[in-house]
Amino acid sequence: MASAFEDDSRDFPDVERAHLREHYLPDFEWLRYAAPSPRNPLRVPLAEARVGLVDTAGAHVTGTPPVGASGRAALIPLDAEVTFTHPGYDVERAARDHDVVHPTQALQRLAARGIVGEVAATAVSVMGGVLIGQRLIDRGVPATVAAMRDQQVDLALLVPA
Amino acid sequence: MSITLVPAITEMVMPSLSCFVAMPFGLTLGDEGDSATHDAILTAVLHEAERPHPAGTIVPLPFRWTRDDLRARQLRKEAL
Repeated sequence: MASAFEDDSRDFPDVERAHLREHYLPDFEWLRYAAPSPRNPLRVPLAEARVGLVDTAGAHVTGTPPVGASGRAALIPLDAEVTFTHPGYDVERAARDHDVVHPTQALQRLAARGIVGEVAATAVSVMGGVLIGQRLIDRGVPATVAAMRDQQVDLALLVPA
Repeated sequence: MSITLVPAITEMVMPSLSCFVAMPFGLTLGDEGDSATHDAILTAVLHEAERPHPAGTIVPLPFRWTRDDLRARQLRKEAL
């Protein structure tokens, strides 16, 4: 990949693998794919596009159970009160300002300014620390795709936490 | 369209298009209260979706955490 500046995270996959194997899952390994997912070009200008938010912040509607390591996806209305449950980052920051990892308000600002057309009414959040990737593929991915398709999203934006 | 904090992991997964920002885990779009940076990152990322990048491209964006060494400590597993 090209880099406008040094990629300071080049060693992190090995550091994280060792950490996860030592503390959580002795045979943890990263999922790898042989070819990239195909691009689906935007069919409308960005200023007319409906953008759907998908994040890995472990957000869930307050009062509902967290999705945890199940690989399931939480469907979250844009105006819902949200709780963050995730072992991999300091959720207190997100609790104080959702936009750092669950940017519903920021995306709505962009829509108000005409940078995007609108924001899909329901966001999707998974808990990104799912060590068995197949769980996300089997549970989270179908629910996420369905949510984006049901809302006729032009562009899905994945924000990692 | 996705954002990545760790390009080396993204290179393994190969999403259709991704943008790299050197921000800490848990502060992907910038610091708490920094709505200007949140909006700027999102705007830059979303505009890349309009460009004809080949599938699998990771676009480095000029956003990096400079407030303290949180990201560096996270990458060494010394901070959450």
